This record gives sequence, C-alpha cells and structure tokens, in this order.
Amino acid sequence: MSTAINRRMSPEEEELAKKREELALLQAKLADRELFLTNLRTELSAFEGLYLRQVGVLYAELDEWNARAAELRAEEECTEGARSAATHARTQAEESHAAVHGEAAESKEFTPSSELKSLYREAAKRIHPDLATDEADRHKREQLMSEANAAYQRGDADALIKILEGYESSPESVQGEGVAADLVRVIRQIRQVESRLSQIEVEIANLSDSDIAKLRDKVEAAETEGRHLLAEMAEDVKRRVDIARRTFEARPAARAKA
Amino acid sequence: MSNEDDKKAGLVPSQSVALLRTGVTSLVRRGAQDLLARTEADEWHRRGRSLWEKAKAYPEDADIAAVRKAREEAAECFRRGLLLDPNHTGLQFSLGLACYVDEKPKGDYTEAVLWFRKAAEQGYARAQNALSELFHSGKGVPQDYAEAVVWSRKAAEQGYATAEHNLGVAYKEGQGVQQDYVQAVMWYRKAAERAYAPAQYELGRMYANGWGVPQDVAQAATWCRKAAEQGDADAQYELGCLYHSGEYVPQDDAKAVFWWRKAAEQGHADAECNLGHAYFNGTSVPQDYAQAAIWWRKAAEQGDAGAQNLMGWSYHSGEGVPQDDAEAVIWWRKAADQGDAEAQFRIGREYLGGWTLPEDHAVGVKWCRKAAEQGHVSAQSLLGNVYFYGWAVQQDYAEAVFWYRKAAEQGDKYSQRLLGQMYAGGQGVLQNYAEAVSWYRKAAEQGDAEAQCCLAIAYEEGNGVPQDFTQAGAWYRKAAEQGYNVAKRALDDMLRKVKGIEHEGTR
Repeated sequence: MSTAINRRMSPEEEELAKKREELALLQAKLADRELFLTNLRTELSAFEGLYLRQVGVLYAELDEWNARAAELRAEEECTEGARSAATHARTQAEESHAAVHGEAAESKEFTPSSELKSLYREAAKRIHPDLATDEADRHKREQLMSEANAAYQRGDADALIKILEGYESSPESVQGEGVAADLVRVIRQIRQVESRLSQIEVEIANLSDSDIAKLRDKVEAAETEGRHLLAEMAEDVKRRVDIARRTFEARPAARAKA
Repeated sequence: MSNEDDKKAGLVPSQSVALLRTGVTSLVRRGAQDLLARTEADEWHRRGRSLWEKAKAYPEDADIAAVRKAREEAAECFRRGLLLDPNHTGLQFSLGLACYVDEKPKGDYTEAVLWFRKAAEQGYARAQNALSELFHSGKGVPQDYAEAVVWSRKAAEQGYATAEHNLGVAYKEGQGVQQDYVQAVMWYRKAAERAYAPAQYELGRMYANGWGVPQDVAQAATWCRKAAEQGDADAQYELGCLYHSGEYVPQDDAKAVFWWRKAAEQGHADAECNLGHAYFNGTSVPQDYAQAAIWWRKAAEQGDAGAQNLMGWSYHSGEGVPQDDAEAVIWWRKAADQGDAEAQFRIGREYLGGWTLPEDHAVGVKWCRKAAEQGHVSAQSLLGNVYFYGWAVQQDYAEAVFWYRKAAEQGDKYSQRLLGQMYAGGQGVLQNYAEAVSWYRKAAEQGDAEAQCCLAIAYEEGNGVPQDFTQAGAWYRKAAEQGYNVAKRALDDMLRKVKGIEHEGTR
C-alpha cells in the first residue's frame, strides 16, 4: 500500500487506504474462519463416516430384519395395518441401507498439514466469493473456491497452488477504475465479508449443535476415560440385531421359507 | 459437505442425495437417542445396585420390612432403567437376581427365569450361569441337566469361572453330558487358574484320584493348598486329612489340626468331627474330652450322623460331658434315624435290654435289623441271638444261622463258635461236624475259650475230625488257662478215661 510518490493523499485516498487496511484484516479473519469451518465440517463428516461404518450398518441390519418380520406378519395377518407397517418398515430399511452404503459412509479421517492449511487460508483470503465485485467475478470465484475446497479435502497441495497461481494471472484480478470507484468497491467487499463472517459463526454454531457433533463430543469425552463409546453402541445394536434375527427366524413361516 | 455447499459448488443435489442425507441424519439421531437412553438406564442401574447393596448390608437380625423395602426400591430402579433400555443386559440380570430373592419364599422363580433368560440369550455370562443353575436345580423351570450344561457351556466359553467349574462338575458326574474326566479336568483347570477356589479343590481331587489326568499327589496337594489358602472349607478339611495321613505330604498332625480347625471354624462338619477326635486322642493338642465333645456337638447339631453317634457315646460314657444315658439315647436316636449303623445297633440293644428305654423287643429287633443289614457285626450277631431265642420274633434257627454266618464271616469269634454249634447240633442247618470244627477252629484261634473247649471235645470224640487226644488235650488246656472251668473238668475227665483205656490195653 505504501507509495514512493511524495504527495498528500486526498481524503478519498486516505479513506480508501483505511478501508483497504480494514478489508485486509477482515480477509485474514475470514480465511481463518473459513478454514476452521471447513475443518469442522471435514472432521464431522469423517466422524459421521466412522459412525456409519461402525454403528450405522448395524442399525441398517436391524431395520432389515424388522422389515422382513413386518412383511412376514403382513403375509400372515393380511390386514391393512400390517401391510402399512410392512411398507413403512421396508422404506425405513431402504433408507438406512442407502445411508450406510452411500458416500457419507466413505468419509475418512483426514489431518491437514500446516502447509495445506496455510495454502487454503491463502486461497480463501484471495478468491473468496464474497470478495467479488460483480456477478461474473462471483461466479468465477465460486467455481475456484469450490475447487479449492475439494483440493483441500483431498489434501492436494499442488492443486491449491495451481488455483492460486491461476487466479493471480487471470485478468479479473487486475483492478483500477479510480479512487471513488475503488472505495465503493472496497466498502461493498467489507460488508460482504462481514456478512459472511457472521454467517460462518452461525454455521459453526449450527454444526456444533448438530447431533453428530454432540455424539462426537461424547465419544471423545468417553475416550479420555478409556471407554470406547462407538464400540459399546455397536455392541448394543448388535445384540438387538441378534434378538430381531432370532425372533424372525423363530417364526414358523420363516422356518418354512428357509 | 452439507447440501448448502453442494449448491454453492454448483452441484445441484439429486433427489437421492437428499434422501441419503435424511437417512444419515436419522441414523445419527437414533444412535444419539439410544446412547442417551442407555446412559440414563446405566444411571438407574447404578442407583438400584447401591440400594441392593444397602439391603444386603443389613445385619441378619434387621427389620425384615426395611430390608424388603430397600430390595423393592432397587428392583423398581432396575425396572425403570429397563423401560429406557429394554435390552440392557446388566439391568436384566440385576432384576432377575432381585426377582429370585423375592420369589424364593414362594419357590416360584418365574420372573427370575424370564429376566435371566433375556440377558443370557444376549450373551451375558453371569445370567447364563444363573440360568444354568436354575435348570440344574429345577427352580422355575423343569429340571434339565442337559439344558443346564448348554447354558453353563456358553458362560464358560466366555471365561466365567463359576460356569467353568460347574461344567467341570457336569462332566465329572455325567450330568447332562457323557461322563468325561478329561473334559472335567480341562474345565476345572480353567477355573482353577482363575483362582476359583472350589475348582482348585476339585482339580486337586482329580489329581489325587488320577481321574482324567495321571495321578500326581504333588499336584493334588498343591491345588488343594491353593484352595485352602483362599478359605475354601472343603479344601481346608482335605488338606488337614492329607497332613494327617501323610500320604501326599510329610505327615504332620499339627498342620492337620491347624487346617481342620480353619475348616471347623467355617462350620465344616467333617472337620469339626476330626478336630473333636484330635482333642479326644490328644493329637498335637492337649487331650481334652470337654473340647472334643464341644466340636462333636457342633457337627452333631448340623446333623452329622457320625458326630451324633459320638455324642451318644460321650453321654453314655460320661467323657467330656456329665454322664447321662437318656441324653445318650437322644443322640443315638438322631444318628440312627439318619442310618448310622452303630447308633441303630445301640438303640436296638437299649430297647432289647430295657436299660434306659422301656423294654420293647419288637422295636429293638427293628433297629438291630437295620444295623445288621448295613453289615454291623455286633448287630448281626445279636440278631442271630434274637432268632435263636425267639425274642419278639418267631424262633427260627435257619434265620439265626443266616445272621451268625454273616457276623462269623466278618470274623466275629462269638458268632463263629455259635455257628459251629448250630452245625454240630443240626439246628437250622444240616448237621455237619466238619463244618462245625472249621468254625470252632476259627473262633478258637482267636482265643475264644468256649470254642477252644468245643474244638477239644470234637478231637476227643472224633467228631468232624480224626480222634486225637493230644490235640484235644492241647485245646482243653488253652481254654482252661483262660479260667474256663468246664474245660478244666473235661480235661481231667478225658485224662482219666485215657488212662483207663491204656490200663485196659496193657492188661
């Protein structure tokens, strides 16, 4: 920002300089919070994957046995109630099956290196969509930010570097239409960033308040006491699966089918 | 990533992705809810358990109502926990236990079985073992050894020591499984190595007897000692016996008495008896009849027939207790009712003689017969007399011979001589002098003066044996030396007769 030209700055120029400083600080903060949010989301999604693989699959199995038992009952009883219960149970079983065999169950734990984190922070600082000055710019930035997010989650530092280099060399990053226009633009950027920052806080609060986050907190707290809560939960559901399976297999119709 | 991000990234979520999200969210919520329910159920369990412990800690003479109230409160906690988490095995087992105690007076156990079974079917070892024990004893379920084995095996395979021990017992006794000592040893050993004292004791016995394992007295003593040191009364008693006999360990009566005392102090009846014997005989303790009687009485009061018999004897002889025949009869009666042959004989004799009990031959004969049928020699001999003389029974020589023979075959010299006399007289048996002589000789060789005299007569007369005055003279003399005057006179008569014969011969 400092300039070698030794002349008094106009009030607009002074204001612009101040605002630019303000924006720079906010950009840094934004990058930090975006990184925090992304990490939180990734961690939760990794934990969710772990939960689905360890416990969720057993719920899905439980639902499957329950659905089979309900269908058998519907066949035997031939009542509207039994039929609708069977349909309901089958839907539930399908939903659970899809959930534990979908993408969510594949999320693996990921520990970003400090280099990766600083690259992401840098990318967020520069190409964040809320720094856009017009719709076309926003669209471009959203595209890039999405790529950056994906690269970060893959742990792909090279891709992040490429995105950063690509952005710097793109013509959109070249600015300069006079002080007044710059000032307007910078003020708008500040507003957008502030708005995003408060939105991030809301998202973080929502995420931290989600079932999966609370479950993770409990699991982590239990771990400090040497307990493996997920294993205990799995053990619990497994016992229920066994009961459901035995109950199903004990039905005469089930035996006949077998 | 949330839908929000997908949208932002331009990835418009398809319907299936949205559905997937709902599925995942609902799975997470179920887990969280179940976890919460389980945590709360655990809390009820903890609360119930502490109430249960409180109920157990009441002194024995505590107000029954207060104990019951604490137990009911505990059961209520278990039930509330189960409302939250119906599959909570710990709660199911605890409630089963509460129901078991509650149902004990009624002898019903239906609810206990229900809860134990629920937990057992979910693989809870303690409940599997409890269910097995109910099947073993037939409480709340039809008694079924095979089913008991099924459940104890499940618990044993999880390494539950009590169940391992019980499975060992099943294999040893062949209850619900084919008897198999090797398997018994295997399961006893598992539990023994978990320091389960009863299994250590049983393993020791398997080694001692060479059952399912090569006999190894050192191992037997080692395991027995481990169990004894853990306070197992059976093992303490057994270890005392080992030291007393000196079979497997160096003989040491002081140690024997030490371990018997430990077991006796825990109320082990056999140990109480043996400790009494030690005091009576002064084995490594100062001889003390009163102490002997004190320990015998403890065992006797627990219903030990041998000790009851000894108490009878103590009162009869006045050793260690004031002499009291009436008291003696009371104890003998108890032992006799339990089938103690010695006591049955004593009671029978009292009735026959009418010394302390009103004379009643019929009752006397009844008791005598019980003892005799158990092989009690004196009773057999006495019963022979009963039939010979026809006391309260039809006189019956054949029956007399039957009982004399039983006693005679066990070496009773009195009965041997009487049996000989029955043969000689042809009473209840075909007359047979040779048989008579053989029985006389057995009794005579045991020093029975009357038998010696009978044998001498047989030699003198040549009945059942070639006539032999020298032999006759020798046996007369033996009898006479014991102060049997009949023999002395008979000897004199014989000598005179023999002289007369010689005199005639020389003429």
